Amino acid sequence: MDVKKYIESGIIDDYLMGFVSEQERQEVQCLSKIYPEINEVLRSSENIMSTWAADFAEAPPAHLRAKILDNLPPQEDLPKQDPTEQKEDKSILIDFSEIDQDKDESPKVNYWSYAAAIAFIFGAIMVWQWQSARSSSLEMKDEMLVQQEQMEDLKNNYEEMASAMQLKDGLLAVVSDPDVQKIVLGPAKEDMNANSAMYWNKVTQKAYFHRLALPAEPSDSQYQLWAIVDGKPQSLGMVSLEENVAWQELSTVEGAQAFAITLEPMGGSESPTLENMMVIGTVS
Amino acid sequence: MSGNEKAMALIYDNYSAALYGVCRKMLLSTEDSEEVFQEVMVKIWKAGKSFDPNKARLYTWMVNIARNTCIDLMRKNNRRPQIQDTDSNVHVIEQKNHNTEFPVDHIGLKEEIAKLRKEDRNVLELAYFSGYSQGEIAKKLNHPLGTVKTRARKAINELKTLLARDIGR
Repeated sequence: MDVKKYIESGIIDDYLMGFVSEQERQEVQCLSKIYPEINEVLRSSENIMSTWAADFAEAPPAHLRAKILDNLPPQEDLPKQDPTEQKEDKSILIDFSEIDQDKDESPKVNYWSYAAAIAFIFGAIMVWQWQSARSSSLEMKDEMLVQQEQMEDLKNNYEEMASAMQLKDGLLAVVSDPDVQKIVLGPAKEDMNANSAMYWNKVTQKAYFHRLALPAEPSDSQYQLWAIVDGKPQSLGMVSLEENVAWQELSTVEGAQAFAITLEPMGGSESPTLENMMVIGTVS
Repeated sequence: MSGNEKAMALIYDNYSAALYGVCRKMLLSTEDSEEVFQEVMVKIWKAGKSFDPNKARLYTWMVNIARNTCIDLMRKNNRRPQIQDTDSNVHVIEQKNHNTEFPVDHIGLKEEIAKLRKEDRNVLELAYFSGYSQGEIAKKLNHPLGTVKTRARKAINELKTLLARDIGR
């Protein structure tokens, strides 16, 4: 049994408040006898509550002092019942003080000790059952959590694959269209290691961009796409910064002679910064 | 007077106010409180030899006896004290004269307890002194069931922090 968890559940304070079921009440009483840690917490909470109760102190009427102290009955040697134990219903409890006064050594006493022994065994079995049920239900809960996580992972994997498939389908549909021309964008300078491709439908004038192998952008910059029309650059928009977006559908462009990509400040520029040109390709 | 009787007189002088206070708080009626208080003192006297200081603090042990005896009477009479109005209740308590020696270091205790939020303290008082169940308190205060438990736990935890220095064997 996980004593720490049991204590942390707050059940001991609930017990003191009377916010527990009859079964839980017995459980706390029984477990506090078995586990010293539980007993310690119970005692310390009881101390807190009784200290707090002192705040309501009120002196009893003066005449009661003599009345009580002068009339104390004979003391009992060993009262068998702890008078502090919380009890739910007095009617089911045995009044040992009455039995003690009964000097007759009758079999009644034996009867009660048998009853007590049976009650103890019964109680012990209940606690044991409760513990094993609790621990197996905790194990099941853990297992369910693990399975839930695995399911979640599988679901995510599936979704990633589905979106990758969708992308590839789109790409395939574009490139297999006989009206679509592929324009390879090669490195703008010899020592650069960059490659991209544009797909341009000459009939619909629609342009598509495939990122392929562009180096990662510096954090404050973004790639901008250009079409050269009548010798003048015309912006086609920005290359998406999102990962996994390798394929973009662009605005239509009429009479493009070439396509190019430049590295621009975040959000793009009005006109291309030519010294930052990464790739370029001409329409044949 | 035997040694035990002297000890009992000492207990009476030191703790009677706290124990009678518990009876008054739980039973409200002076008549019931006096009757139960006498019963409590007799129980303490009778069971005194079985008190084990290793198992409990004497004062707490006696408060538990008082509480349980009060609860027994409530059950026997099949009734519970009326829900008390917190404001007037606090007022009455503050008016009381705390001139009896207390079982705990009382300096600052009142001030510390006053730091508890009224709503939390109210739940705690109902649970600890009235014997009301969680459901009954929820109904009386018109709170959701969970709130009652949360408030009581919060109040106990705050008391634990506030009274830490008063507690000890």
